[in-house]
Amino acid sequence: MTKIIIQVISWLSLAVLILLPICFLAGKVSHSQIKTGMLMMTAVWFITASLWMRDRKNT
Amino acid sequence: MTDDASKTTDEGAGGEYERQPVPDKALLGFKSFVGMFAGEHTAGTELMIGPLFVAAGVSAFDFLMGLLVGNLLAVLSWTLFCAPIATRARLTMYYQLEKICGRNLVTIYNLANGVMFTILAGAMITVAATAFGVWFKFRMPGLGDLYPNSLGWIIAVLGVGVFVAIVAAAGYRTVANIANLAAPWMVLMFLAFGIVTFKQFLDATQTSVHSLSDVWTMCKTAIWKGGQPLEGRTKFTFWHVMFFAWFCNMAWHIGMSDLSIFRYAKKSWYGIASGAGMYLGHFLAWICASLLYAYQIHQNPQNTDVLPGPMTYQAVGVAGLICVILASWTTANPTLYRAGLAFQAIMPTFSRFRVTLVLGLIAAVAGMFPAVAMKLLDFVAMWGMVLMPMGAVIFVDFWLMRKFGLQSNYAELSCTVFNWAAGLAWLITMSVCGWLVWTGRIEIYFVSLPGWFVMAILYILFSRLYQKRMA
Repeated sequence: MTKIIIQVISWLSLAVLILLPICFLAGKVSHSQIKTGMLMMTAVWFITASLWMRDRKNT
Repeated sequence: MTDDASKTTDEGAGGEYERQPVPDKALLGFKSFVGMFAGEHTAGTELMIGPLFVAAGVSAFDFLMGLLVGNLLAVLSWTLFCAPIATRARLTMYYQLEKICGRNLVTIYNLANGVMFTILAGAMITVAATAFGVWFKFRMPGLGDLYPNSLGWIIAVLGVGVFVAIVAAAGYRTVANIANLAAPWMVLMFLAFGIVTFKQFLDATQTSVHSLSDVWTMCKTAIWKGGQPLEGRTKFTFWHVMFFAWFCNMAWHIGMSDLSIFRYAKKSWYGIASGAGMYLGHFLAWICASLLYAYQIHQNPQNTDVLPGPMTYQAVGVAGLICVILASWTTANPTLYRAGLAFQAIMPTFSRFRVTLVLGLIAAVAGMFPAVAMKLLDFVAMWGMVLMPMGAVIFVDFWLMRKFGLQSNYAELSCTVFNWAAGLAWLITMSVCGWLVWTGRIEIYFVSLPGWFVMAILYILFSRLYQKRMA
């Protein structure tokens, strides 16, 4: 169950990563907001994906 | 491109079925090839190639249509040239070449490949160092610079280079895992570069988009405006873009390096899986990377430096710098690893660790000189030109030799270690192509097409003489 939650979080982080520039294009968020947001989503992706990808490799 | 770096370019990289056909039980499905191509062709090289198109004064129509057509031709080359032979013979490119040309000629091919890989790794170290320039604010080279221009730059490149060399020599697997982890994120990062910069263009030109026609107008008038190239660059037309997109991976499709990959394919039509790499990496990523540079020039026409670090930082901040470092690092590492294997095959008494470490240090020194990175388009085209002739040999040997009453796999049959027909044809083809480019009769982006036919004809003629004489 934990693994599924981590997997969902990691894919969500990628979804948000690409949604942020789209929101910027639509004028909904500022440039500085997307810079911060993309850095956070990058961190979330690498932390969470490394957990389940490593798990998948071990199995 | 190539990402090219992660190709199996040596006999030892895969470690499986090196000297025997791949058995049915080891064949892979279509999806395996889609994933592999998509991941491998969105790499550090794209961050340089995209901007260099803009520096070459390309227009919107020429750029977009050239990429569409050129990438289609590349996919067709994999599907119609490489995969059909791969799925019939199911041998590595190296073993197949050894059967035709003999071990010594394959060694020379390995050497040429190893040199090219080392230089490419150097260019990737250059790219990674531009990210550190943003943090440490040292002076970085400009578009026309051939030599390092600051102490900070030299220290940064050496630092990155030594790190890359040690990791490539000792921990290739770790980097491969990081590359897998980064692959989906990196594709989205490239897309983000494009979307963010497009919005910045809209704001800077005060354009409001109501239809596709408005987008096209902005592309033509603000992004890829055409006109004169920057100083010292070749003017790119539709034909330049098309041939570059087609031939930038020439060593792998028409040059047949990817026989080693497609020998695992159940069907030859799996070659179309290369479309995932071409249209994500060599279409989408090149367009997005070119937008970064076009915006930089739009903001300040005097700033013609092609520095991926500052460009991506401007667009998406620190995440962009991480992307530059990871993209170039994950390209440089397998590149160096394979260069190490190529050289180690030539010098088997030296350990792969030591050879890779030395090559890494050479790449680091090469990386200090921005000439390679700034001339990456020419370098990639030259790579195709040098290695393409061996693809012509394999093609002719596989499909045509018996039709001309000649023996295929001649080195294996005659137990020779150097097939002079292939060796001489290769030397003459490269000399003729090199002369044509050197004297300005034909540009390097186009020379490989006639070169392929020259090689094929010479190989048949020389084989007729050589096989008669040997008999």
